[in-house]
Amino acid sequence: MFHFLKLIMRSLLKRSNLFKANSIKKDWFDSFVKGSLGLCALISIITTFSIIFILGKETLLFFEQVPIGDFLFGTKWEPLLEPQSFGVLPLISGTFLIVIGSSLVAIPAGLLTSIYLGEYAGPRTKAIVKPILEILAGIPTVVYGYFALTVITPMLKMIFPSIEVFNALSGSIVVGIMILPMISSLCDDAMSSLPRSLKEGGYAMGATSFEVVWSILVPTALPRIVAAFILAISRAIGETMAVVMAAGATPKMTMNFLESIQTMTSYIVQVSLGDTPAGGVEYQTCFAVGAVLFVMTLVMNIIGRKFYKRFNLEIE
Amino acid sequence: MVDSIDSNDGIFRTQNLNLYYGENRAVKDVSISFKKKEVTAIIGPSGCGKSTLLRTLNRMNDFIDIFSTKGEIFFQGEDIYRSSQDVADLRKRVGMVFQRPNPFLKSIYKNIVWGPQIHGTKKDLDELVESSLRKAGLWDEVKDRLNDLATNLSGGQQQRLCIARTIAMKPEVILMDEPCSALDPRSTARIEDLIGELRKDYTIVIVTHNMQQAARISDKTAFFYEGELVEFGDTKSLFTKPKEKRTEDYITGRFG
Ligand SMILES: Nc1ncnc2c1ncn2[C@@H]1O[C@H](COP(=O)(O)OP(=O)(O)OP(=O)(O)O)[C@@H](O)[C@H]1O
Ligand SMILES: [Mg+2]
Repeated sequence: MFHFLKLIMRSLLKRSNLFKANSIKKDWFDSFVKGSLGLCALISIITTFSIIFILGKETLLFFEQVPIGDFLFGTKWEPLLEPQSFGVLPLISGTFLIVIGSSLVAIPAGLLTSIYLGEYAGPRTKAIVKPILEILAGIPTVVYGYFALTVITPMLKMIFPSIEVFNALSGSIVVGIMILPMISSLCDDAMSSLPRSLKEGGYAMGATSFEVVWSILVPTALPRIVAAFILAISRAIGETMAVVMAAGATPKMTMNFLESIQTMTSYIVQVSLGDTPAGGVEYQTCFAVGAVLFVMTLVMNIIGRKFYKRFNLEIE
Repeated sequence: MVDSIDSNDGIFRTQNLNLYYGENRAVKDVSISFKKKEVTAIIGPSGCGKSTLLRTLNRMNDFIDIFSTKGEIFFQGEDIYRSSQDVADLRKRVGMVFQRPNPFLKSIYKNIVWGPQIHGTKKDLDELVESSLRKAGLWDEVKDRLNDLATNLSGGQQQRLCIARTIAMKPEVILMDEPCSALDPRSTARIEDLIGELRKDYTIVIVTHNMQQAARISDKTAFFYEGELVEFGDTKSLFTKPKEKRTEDYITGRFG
């Protein structure tokens, strides 16, 4: 990001020297545009760093009161009850349930959608399916939550009568549907960015679409496809509203999809919406959990980017 | 086999073939036949329909929605556009080498065996790899690194690998669309030598912009102009005493 800013500054300087002789009006407009762009960049940088700063500060304060080991390895999360316990593992396990469940839904469906659109669908089908995916991507997450609660859960209840009203399965499915368009469009980008000649090489040897897709396109684009998965997963980790509405808010160490769970983000929402007084240790839990969340998504994004870069190296 | 009816008929034969992109007729009323174990060069100015014709022979134009044909194309006496034609089988028997080398992002070894494997070859793959690479004149350069990525080879080596990959399919015909245009003169010379070797076993149809190349490597030459087949005959006589004015103008560099 600093790099970006530096670039803008440099080009600003260069510009103003180069175009001195030019009409003053154009020069003025140019530097106005450059200046406002630079300002926007600056604002986002400042915001990012203040967030990291506050997150770090409050988290450190939290760890002055709660030993870091208790937090990271404790299996009981009851910060709002007496006696308090601050084991974050239930929240992490809840988050993992949603991530695993939604990935199981969205990764195969998303990848297959992109393959279908890229290799099999005719122009007509494409013209229908693509806008639908875009609409799917634009629906507010609350609506997804409501959909889970009123449609998905009742349907699940018919299959699993013992399922709780709030359950991880419903949450996983709905988050899966939410991240599906992202996966399919990123995978589509990944495969359509491959040189045409690669595909033709396969077909020219008498391969079927199936063989070309699974043995040439997917393996060649794999780093970028994996990057797409990782980015989508980090989105699933961060997803809040729909999960709260579908999966509830019961911090529990469980691997049972039929039970209610709580994810890290839904805990943060719960506290921010509740009447927990600012400054107390209960309040600071939010930041500690937020820090864990931040580190997790950051790591995912870095890995995702690494994959993406590797891809670009291999394809010339 | 049908081809025993008339061996002079050519392994490929077109009859009043017209090829369209939508309304645009890219190839006009072409009747031509390519003979077994001969090298036929297709020459002509840019946009005259050379690639279109070539890519019709293995039905690679099927992927273009607006593409359509009128007239007939026979391969070994059978119309390749008849509904019962197995396109995969046609492409297996009619291999293609492209303008830009397009090896798969796999090892050299896997690049060679990929095609035969999808068609069910399971045995003697090592021998197949060696013999294909030998025929393509690449064996000595790569025999110690068969498991390296094919994409790390030089452009010329990649193109020879693509030829080896095609040979490994044991095709009857090899189509080449300007196979040397992305290569330096040395690699080009190697590929030309290679074609000289391959002509013993295969029927080759090659599109080229390089007149000297056509003259050097081919038995027959077809000159196309604006979608029409202007002249077709023995390379030697076409280049030394062209019958048509347009052919003469083209090969002497007066246009195109
Ligand atoms: N995919 C396509 N869609 C529509 N028109 C096309 C397509 N491909 C080729 N054409 C048109 O068909 C005509 C013949 O093109 P073709 O590629 O066969 O020429 P060419 O002789 O191979 O030229 P070059 O020597 O430049 O490769 C051109 O007018 C071209 O614009
Ligand atoms: Mg061409």
